[in-house]
Amino acid sequence: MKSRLIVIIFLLSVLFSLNAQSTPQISGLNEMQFIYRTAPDSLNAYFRDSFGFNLDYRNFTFGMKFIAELPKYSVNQDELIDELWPYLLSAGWKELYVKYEQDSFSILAGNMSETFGSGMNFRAWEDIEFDEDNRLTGFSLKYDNKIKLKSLYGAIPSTNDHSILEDPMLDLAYGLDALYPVLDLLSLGGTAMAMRTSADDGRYNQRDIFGGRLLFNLDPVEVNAEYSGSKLYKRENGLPAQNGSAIYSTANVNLYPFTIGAAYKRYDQFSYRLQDLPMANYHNEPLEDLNPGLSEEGLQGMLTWSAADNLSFNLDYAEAWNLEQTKHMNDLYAAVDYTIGSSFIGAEFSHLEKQNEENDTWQKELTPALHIAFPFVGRTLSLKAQHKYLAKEKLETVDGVYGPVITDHWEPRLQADIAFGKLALSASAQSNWEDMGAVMDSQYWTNFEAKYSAFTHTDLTLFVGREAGGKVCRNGICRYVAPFQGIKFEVATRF
Amino acid sequence: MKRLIIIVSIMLFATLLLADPMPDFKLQDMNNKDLSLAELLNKGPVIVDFWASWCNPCKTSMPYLNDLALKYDSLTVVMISVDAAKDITKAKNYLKSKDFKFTALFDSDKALSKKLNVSSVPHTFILDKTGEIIYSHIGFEPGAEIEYEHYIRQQLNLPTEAE
Repeated sequence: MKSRLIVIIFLLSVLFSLNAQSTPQISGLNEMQFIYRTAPDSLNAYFRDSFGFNLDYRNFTFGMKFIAELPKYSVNQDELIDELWPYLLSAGWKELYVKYEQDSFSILAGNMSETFGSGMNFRAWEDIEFDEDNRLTGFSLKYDNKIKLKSLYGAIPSTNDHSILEDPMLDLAYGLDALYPVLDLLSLGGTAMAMRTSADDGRYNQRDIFGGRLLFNLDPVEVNAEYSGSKLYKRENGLPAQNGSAIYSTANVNLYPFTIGAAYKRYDQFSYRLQDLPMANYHNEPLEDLNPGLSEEGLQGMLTWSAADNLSFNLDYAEAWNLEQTKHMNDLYAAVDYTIGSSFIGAEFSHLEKQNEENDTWQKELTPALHIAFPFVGRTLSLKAQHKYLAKEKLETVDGVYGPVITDHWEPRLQADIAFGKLALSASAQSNWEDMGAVMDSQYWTNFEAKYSAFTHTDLTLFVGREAGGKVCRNGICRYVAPFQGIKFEVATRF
Repeated sequence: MKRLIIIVSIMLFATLLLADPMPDFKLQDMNNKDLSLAELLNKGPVIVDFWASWCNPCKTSMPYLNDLALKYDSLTVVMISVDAAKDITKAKNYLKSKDFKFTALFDSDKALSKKLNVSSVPHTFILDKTGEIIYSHIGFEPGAEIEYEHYIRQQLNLPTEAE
């Protein structure tokens, strides 16, 4: 028995000494959340755990993520849960992949996120906070050297409703992307993609996409240009084939302390699911929220000026319109930042306006914001205030009279952040003021969050209150969050 | 005896878990040229900071990280943008307008950030000169740079109380 033990220990030691030449590298993150939602449903308590794990050993990488949502918390506030249904319990592998890399080659099988070029032709991605999963499951093969080649073949569950079928239908995507530096200052690239989208009649629509791009970089000038054409055919119900096209280009000149830039876009019948169209404006705002890229053209200009090491100005203006010139949009962003020692003052102004002559609607958003940070009880206190104004005009019948009706409201928001060593605190209040005479009766979202970094790899976070959702930066972290009211307690452990 | 075997196995496995090196990577820089981890190591400690152009705390941290890069010659500061590919130009313009001295890389496919489980930004890692991760921190609150400097000075064998 003793000799067997010695042999086992010896074998383990040999194994370990071999591993020491190329030690397995493990990294992971476990996020455990207890949620008490104070919504008017019968089910207030939720538990969520996400365990992600990556193992690198020699040429192999293995990654997985297991998420248990008991029950699954809907990011849609309209979907309140009246009763606990078994189908709302969700537990399973949300990510599994294995990758092999040797020299400049790599091959991956499993779930994958991928982008070709700017994302105009193809992008597969995941947005955890909004429960959007546009990743492909399949294979990809890459060669990453002077020439960069990417190829993939994958599937994704269809968004079309095929509830009458037993198995969910899949959409398919496959293609190739290449980028080659023909000169030190010039790279040329090309993309060929095909996407098959399941149609209502149970067959596939086919969309072929071919694109080319160039990247020119000669200090201080940088130019990127991308052109693509697409053809949609084999359509359901005998619909005719449809051609589409897309152009996106940017040009920037860096003459420090000035940086000047411009961007141009033109999309014609170039809208599909696995893409991420550059919008050529500061806020990445499409002309239309639904199916951007069907008919859209626009120009953007930007200027930054660093007047001194501690003073900078930023100006960005964009206009967009549809190809029929019946819809228009403009987007303005202006900002100034000034730092004095450990104090900071920043002011921003955003203006976004959209007009649609086809249905006589118009909407506008104005957002002035101020951010100051200054020493307070030996720490830095950060205060942010913004006062968004939204106005909309649309044709409606009111009191029997049909005509334009304008509605508007204010969305003031205040936030304070301070950190005491490993403890960070943040409090914010937001409201929606429709009637300035009845401000106190308006809806309010107030919340408080405390984050404590325990040990070296663990963060404890407690959130209490209501929030409207969207991009939130508090306690030094930025993320997109869903609307919520209640209590959240989170333990995030990295290893 | 069985217990002993289990203990030894657990100890060996734990030793493997404790090894926490930065995974090797190759990402494009501001001039679309590839830069690998190996090229960033050996000079001294490295700060790797994941950021995005829409993240204000990330931007707040940059002057502090830039000051550290200027203060310690042996320190390399690498800012890795996780912006989507369509927003790389915006991220580049921001960095150019500030004239920072650190190295900027782009991980729009999130190949590296996925390996390191970077789910929110900023997320900062400090590596020793061999590439071992000695510290990581999520978020940036003014004052966090003091802790970064503490680890940097430790790596440079300097007194840890910075002047």
